[in-house]
Amino acid sequence: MNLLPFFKNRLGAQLIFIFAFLLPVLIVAVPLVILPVQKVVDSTSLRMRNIRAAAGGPGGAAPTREMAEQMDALRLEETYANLLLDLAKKDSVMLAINLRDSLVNLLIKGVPVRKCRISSFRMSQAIPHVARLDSLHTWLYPPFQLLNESATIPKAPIRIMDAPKDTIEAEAMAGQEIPIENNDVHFTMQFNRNLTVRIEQEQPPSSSSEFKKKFAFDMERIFAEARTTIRNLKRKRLPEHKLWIEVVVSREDAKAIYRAIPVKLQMALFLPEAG
Amino acid sequence: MKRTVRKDFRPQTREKARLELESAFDDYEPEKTEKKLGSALFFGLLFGLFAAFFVFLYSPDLRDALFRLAPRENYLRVDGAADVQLYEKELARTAKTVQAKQKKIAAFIPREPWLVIDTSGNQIFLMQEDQLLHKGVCSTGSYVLLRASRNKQWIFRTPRGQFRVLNKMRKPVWYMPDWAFVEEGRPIPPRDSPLRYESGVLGDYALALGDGYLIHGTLYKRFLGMPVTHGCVRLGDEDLEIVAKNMGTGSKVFIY
Repeated sequence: MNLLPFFKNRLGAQLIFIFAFLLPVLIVAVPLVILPVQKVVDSTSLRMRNIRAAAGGPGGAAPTREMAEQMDALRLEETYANLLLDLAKKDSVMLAINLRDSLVNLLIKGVPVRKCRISSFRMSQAIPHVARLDSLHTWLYPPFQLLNESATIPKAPIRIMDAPKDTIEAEAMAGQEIPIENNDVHFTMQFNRNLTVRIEQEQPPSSSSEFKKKFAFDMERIFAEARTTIRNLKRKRLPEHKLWIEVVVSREDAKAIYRAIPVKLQMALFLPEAG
Repeated sequence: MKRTVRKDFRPQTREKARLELESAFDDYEPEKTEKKLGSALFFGLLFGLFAAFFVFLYSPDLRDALFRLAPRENYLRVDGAADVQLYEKELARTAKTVQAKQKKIAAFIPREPWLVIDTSGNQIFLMQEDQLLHKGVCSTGSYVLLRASRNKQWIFRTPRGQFRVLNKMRKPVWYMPDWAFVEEGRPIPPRDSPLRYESGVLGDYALALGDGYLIHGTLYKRFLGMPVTHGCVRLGDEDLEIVAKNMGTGSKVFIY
């Protein structure tokens, strides 16, 4: 093979193109994607090794895998029960997301006043890793506190009306149509302990304007995360991966949940399975 | 070829090699090649920067995708040096504790009939323990902010939370608050004026929840299912009858 006329064919140009393409991609991907994941996975693995080493020590045979699984499930149930008992002490509306039974419950004083069926849900692949850095139970308990929320609909559909000057003006005002709300509902709740819950309506966008609204809402979320990343990089810190859960419910349920939740919301979470 | 050139010094072979090399470079133009490489570098960087921008924007999603590939450890938590017998005891104890706590949670549900009012869907649910007795439509707060002057305004919303029926009235008479006159463009009469009393507008029953909020009937049945009230909960005649018959003083009402 005659390699001497190296520049004659396009191989050189191709290699340079690939190198030039990969350089900025890797400069961004390594600190923002690869290293944060590596950091979490390393620390989780280390912890698991320590626990495994401790199991089955002096004093007899180690418990079986089934027993450990059973214990794990029971402890998760106990944690969820403790969370519900804690929420029952509050006067306001509280939220319980039970991914095991596919239910989102609105609770007042421990009484489930609305049970919303979850049609589907997704959750961050990092939850099994990150949640166990401080053990799953201390991550789940005490209840998550709402830090902020944003939605495609207003929290309260307030209409401002100036009082009529006389009865004639009042009669004219009384004839005004009552606005009917049929907007699509998507909202995001950010909780402490690095958790974000996204509630989406299962119905497709009802109109092109609603589609645009949803697109703008998603973009806003992406740019907000980008801003956080920049802040972290300025402080010379690796970005912390946000744990998220996306829950799909009907539009009516999504609207009811969003309108009902108070500013100081607390939430109980029941994960679908131990792992 | 190179080796042949180095070893064979015969003129005809050297000439042949030279010709071959020349033919290989016959369209070699240094300026063109430099331009080609420059373009490759430029476009590579351009596309790379473009891709890097998207990597930056979607880095949370990419991290998540990477977590999917990361090896999942076996997450069983086996505490310390537990042996089988101790572990079995611990299992039984935990199961008992969970059951006790679940019973405690179930006990939060009232034994006597209770009412749930959904202000976003304008619906009511009359419950007996965890069974639905009756479902109906209602009207709740309109969220109108009525401005009379700079420092006098009212917002018409239904309060949320847990309430109790404080009083059950039959054939209630409405005591009209100030906003009822302001809204109609009428002058506000004194507090004890007979103009403030109106009968027959609240239906057959009214259940007081406190702070002036009532569950009552309505003359405007076409508005049922819509948020049109001043904070009270309006029901249709049939629904009001069922609710009033099942609920007494002290019954719990949950509004969300």
